[in-house]
Formats: sequence, C-alpha cells, structure tokens
Amino acid sequence: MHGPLHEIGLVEVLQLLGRGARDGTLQVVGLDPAAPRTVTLSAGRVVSVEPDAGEAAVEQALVARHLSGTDTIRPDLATESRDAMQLELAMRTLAAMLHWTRGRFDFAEGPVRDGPLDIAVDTILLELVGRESRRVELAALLDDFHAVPIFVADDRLAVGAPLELDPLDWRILDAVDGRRDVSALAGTLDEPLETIGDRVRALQGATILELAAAPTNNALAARAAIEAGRYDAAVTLLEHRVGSVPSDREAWRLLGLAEVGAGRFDRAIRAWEAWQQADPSLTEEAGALIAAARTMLEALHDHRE
Amino acid sequence: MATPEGPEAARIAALRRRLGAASPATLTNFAWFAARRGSDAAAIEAVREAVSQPGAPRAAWQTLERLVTGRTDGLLLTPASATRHAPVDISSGASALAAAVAAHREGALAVAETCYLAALAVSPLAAAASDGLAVLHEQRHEQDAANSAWQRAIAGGAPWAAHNHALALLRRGEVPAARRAMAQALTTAAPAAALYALAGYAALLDGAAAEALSSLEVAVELEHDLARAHFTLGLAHDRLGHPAAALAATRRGLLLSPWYLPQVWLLTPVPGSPPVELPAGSERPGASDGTDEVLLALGRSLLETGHLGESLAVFDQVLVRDPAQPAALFHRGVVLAKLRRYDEALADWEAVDRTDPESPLGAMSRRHARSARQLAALFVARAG
Repeated sequence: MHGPLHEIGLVEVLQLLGRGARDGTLQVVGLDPAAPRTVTLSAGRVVSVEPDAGEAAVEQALVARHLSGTDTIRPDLATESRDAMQLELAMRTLAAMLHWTRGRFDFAEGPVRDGPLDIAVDTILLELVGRESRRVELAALLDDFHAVPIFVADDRLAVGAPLELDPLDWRILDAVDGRRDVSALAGTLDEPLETIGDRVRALQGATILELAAAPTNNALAARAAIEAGRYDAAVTLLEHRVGSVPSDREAWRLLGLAEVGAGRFDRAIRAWEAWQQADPSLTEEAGALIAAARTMLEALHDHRE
Repeated sequence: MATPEGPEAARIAALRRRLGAASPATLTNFAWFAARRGSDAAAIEAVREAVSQPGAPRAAWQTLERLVTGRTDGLLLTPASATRHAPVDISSGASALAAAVAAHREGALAVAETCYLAALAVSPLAAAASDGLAVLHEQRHEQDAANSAWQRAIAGGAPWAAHNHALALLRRGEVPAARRAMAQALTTAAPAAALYALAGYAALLDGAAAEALSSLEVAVELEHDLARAHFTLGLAHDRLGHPAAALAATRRGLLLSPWYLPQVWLLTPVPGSPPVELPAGSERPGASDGTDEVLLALGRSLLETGHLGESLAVFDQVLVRDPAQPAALFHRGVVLAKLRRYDEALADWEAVDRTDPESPLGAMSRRHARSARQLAALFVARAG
C-alpha cells in the first residue's frame, strides 16, 4: 500500500492498518525528502517511531531536559521516566505527521520485531484530539498563551503548603523571566503548549506564579502604519512590541519591513536576524530577505562613496 | 562563588522556605534551580541536605560533586521516582533493629547501640543485632567486643556476619586471615554475590589477580548490578593486562554508581530483607582512595584503547581531587602528547619529576619531557 499524502491522509492510513491488525513498516516522507519517518506496526499497534522516538532521540531529549547527562556516569533514572519520554516523543511526532498534506507513504507488509512502544491507533487519535481540545480550553484561560507568568511576591511565595514539584515545573520556573509569555516558554523548553499551559496554571494554583496580562499587541496598528507609509511610526510600535515579547516572530518580520520602508537596511537586517533566531524553521525565508537587504545596503554604500 | 543579590536571592530564599523539610529529589531539583540562578551557596546547602537523607538520588551526589568543585554545568534534575532505595522506616511502629540500622547509617552510634541492645532481647532479631553491634564496635576500634559479637552473630546465622567479619579482618590488615574466613564461608550453601565480591577484592589486595578475577566473575554473574564487583573486576583485568576487559567492567560499574566503594558493611534492618549498605572507612562517598584507583585504571584502559578524550577527562577528575597525583599527571601527559599538546604534556611530566623524582614514573617523566621539549621547539621553529 502506498500513495501521496494529498490523496489519503495519514489518519486514514493508520486507521486502516490498525483496524486490519496489520504487521509491517510504514515509511512516510513529508516536506523534507531527506528525513523519512518509519512507523512500525505489529498487529495494527504502533511499536516504534523512528528516528524521532528511537533510543538516541530519547537520550537526547532526556539530556535536553536535564534528566540525563553526557557524562559516563548516568543518573539512576527510573525506567518509567525513559518510557514516558519515548511515548511522548512518539506522540509528538505522530501528531506532526498527521497534519502532513505533502509527501507520500509506503507500507511494506511483513513480520516485524517487537518495538519499545505498544500503542493502539485509536488511542493515538483520541490522545491527539484530547490534546487539541485542551489547547483550545487553555488558550481561552491564558490570553491565547500570551499571558506572561511571573513569580508571586516573596512573602506569598514563602508560605503555603509544602511543594513537590516535578522536573518540568523546575524548568518552567527557571525559564520564567517576566518577559516570556506561555507560548515563548513552550518554545524555549521544547514542550507542547498545552503541557506548559497546564503546568503554569498548576503553579499559579500553588501560589508560586501569577499571570501578568498579555502586553498590548501593537502589530495590527503597525501593519496599518506600514500600509499607510508611516514607517517611523510603525518602527516605534514594533520596537515596543519586541521589547516586551521578544519571541513575537511576526513583530520582528514587520519591524524589518518597516525599516526597509524607511531606507534603513542595516537595521532591517538586524530585525530579520532576530526573526530568524526566534524561529529557526524560517532560516531560508529570512535568509533571502537578509541577503536582499545586504545587497541594497552595499549598493547604497558604494553609491555614497 | 557566585551569589545573586537583591530580589533574586530573596526569591530563592523564599522558595527554599516554602519547600520546608523536602524530599531528596525536591532538594536536588531546588539546587539545580538555585545554581542556575547563580545562588551556588543555597544550591550546595540544599544538595548537602539531600545527600544526607536516605534514598538520595544519584543526581544529588553528582550535583554536590560538581558544585563543590566550582562547576555549575551538567547539573541534573531528578524525578521523584528516581529514588531507588526506600528509606528505612524508623517510625514508632518499626522494630528496634530497623531503628538501630537507621541510626547506624546516619552515624548516630549511641542511638544505634541502644537500639541494637534492645533488639538483642528479641529472639528472631538477636543474630542480626549482634552483627550490627559488631560493626559498630569495629568502627569504634573496640576489636575484642567486635570479635565476640561476631562470634554470636555467626553462630546465630546472621546473613552478613561472615562478610562483615572478613571485612573487619581486611581492614585490620589481616589479609590472609580474612581470605581464609571467606574461603570457609564460601563453602556454605548459596553464598551471596557480596561475599564473592569481597573475596575478589581481598585476593586483589593479596596480589592474587587471577584468583580475584574468578571470584569477581562469579559475583557479577550472581548479581549483575553489584557496582563494586564490576569496579574491582576492572582493577583485576587491569592488573592482568587486559585493557579492553578492564574498560568494559569499569564502564559497567560507572553506569551503576559514581563511586567505587569496595568496603561496605552490610546491615540487616529486618530479617529476610535486603541489606542496608554502609560504606566503611570514609566519611563521604567519593573521598576514598579506592575511587582514584579505579579512575586511574579506567584512564589507563581508555588510553590504551585509544579513547583519548575520555581518558583525559578521567585523569582530570583525579587531579581535581589531588593535583599532585603522580600517576594521573604522568598519564595525562601521555594523553596530551598523543593529542600533540606538547607544552601541556611537558608541564605534567615536569610536575611528576618535581614531586616524585626518585620513582620510576619520575625517571620516565624526565625522558618524556626531553622529547616533548624537542617537539615543542620544532613547532616554535616552524611557526617562526
């Protein structure tokens, strides 16, 4: 069984394989042909997702989460923590793959060896639907994830019931800087938005964090200013925005545009570099704009000389 | 040492107050947080408290080691479930023996003695209590009292009495007597891995590396996770000139424990339960000469098998604790020379020559240093 993803989505493919209790290897190629994913199924249940939820990826994820080290001496991490990490990586990868509409899949039927996972396809789909729903609920509670967590005052922090925080809570507390919103925290910690949203609310309930209102988003006004040719006004609005929410990628992009409009290519390059940094997946797009701005800058420079 | 000031320090202090009498895992994680926020002193205080509690996770020990050597990189978080050893219950309902072992492990010897004496009066606990009492006397250098307590413990069938008695003999320097006692104990039905491990260690101390090897191989076969047996096995292979096998055994040991503690008293908190291990002869884990010995063997094995980067890190680790350790300096010099870092190699060999000129290592270091000087001069000439 094989075909392009724009004709039959992975949800349908997985459901077919799951209900048919099939054994085999499903290879999926998305936008990047150099990065195929391999989902192994045994009796219609997902038993491995490679390479994203393979052993190396799990170890890497544990190191990134400060739960394991690169030293020879490893912490005495319980097996269930590794298993939970592996499951989470698999679910995340599958969630991303299920949205792919470009690329193709190939299913090769045949006997497979047992893998580290054992997840029914219906469980995967229900879990992903559950996560999406939770995300929508939390978006309403957390100002579309733009609420900014901050520590409560020290006198309130010191009192209250004793705490048992888990490692993710500590990582959140470490990343809280009074500037990052919930969305930026999720990006920084490489965790799902709904997971971070849930933990932030729990920390709020434990009187450790409180939520500052989302800073006013000047992006709309700035866009209108750019369209009206009022570039300096747009720059002022956007600088204010990126100062309060440095993770706002769109604001950095617009700031670059406004600077170009004002003829300040050097400042446009800086804005777009920040845009690129805020979202490395945009390297190509931002890189092209930066190159163009640089060419203009050089041209202007040569002309002036 | 970094110390934050103002609001950050106040926040860390407030959070610490909030945690109260926290679990070792929570204290370890707080230490991670405090260290990342620059409050090393608060971090060290918390992690010290963590390691002083039963069941402290390995991450706590690793954090402590890094922080006390001035490092804040590579600190770890730990889930609550990482704790591998359940603490001994010393609540009011617990037996006198369990309370004795808990107090003994915490170093509260007077309390432990009182509890052991109480346990002696309870028939099913008496043999194990005698064994614990014997260990306690041995720690206080009361050898006669220890010997007579061990006689009672062995006669009563205390499970670890033969092991502990042999360890006491070893520590008193009576290696042949210890080996004889263990040889006899090993003839009994189903001896434990710990006894084979100790027998292997004693054989190694006695210069009988081949005998050590066979005992230790049995020990690791019986109990795959017995870290000290793997470490000692690594040393035995090292002595027998098997670098690859030494490396494999030592790495296995390191996966199981950061510390090489070859001498461990085994105490019984509840008859029939697994023993509680009490490191002998060192106030804190990692401070023993045994660890350095293992690290040196590991470093040599890594060097001989061409793992230069890892080897360098291992010798560095020894030299952090003892900057003048001649063998570590000598071998680090060799690694650095292989990496063509001749100036640094030269510095290490010159250090050995200064600190230990009469030893064979000193003589070799002088020869090596001469070569390194020549090579360094070549590089200078080429650069010029």
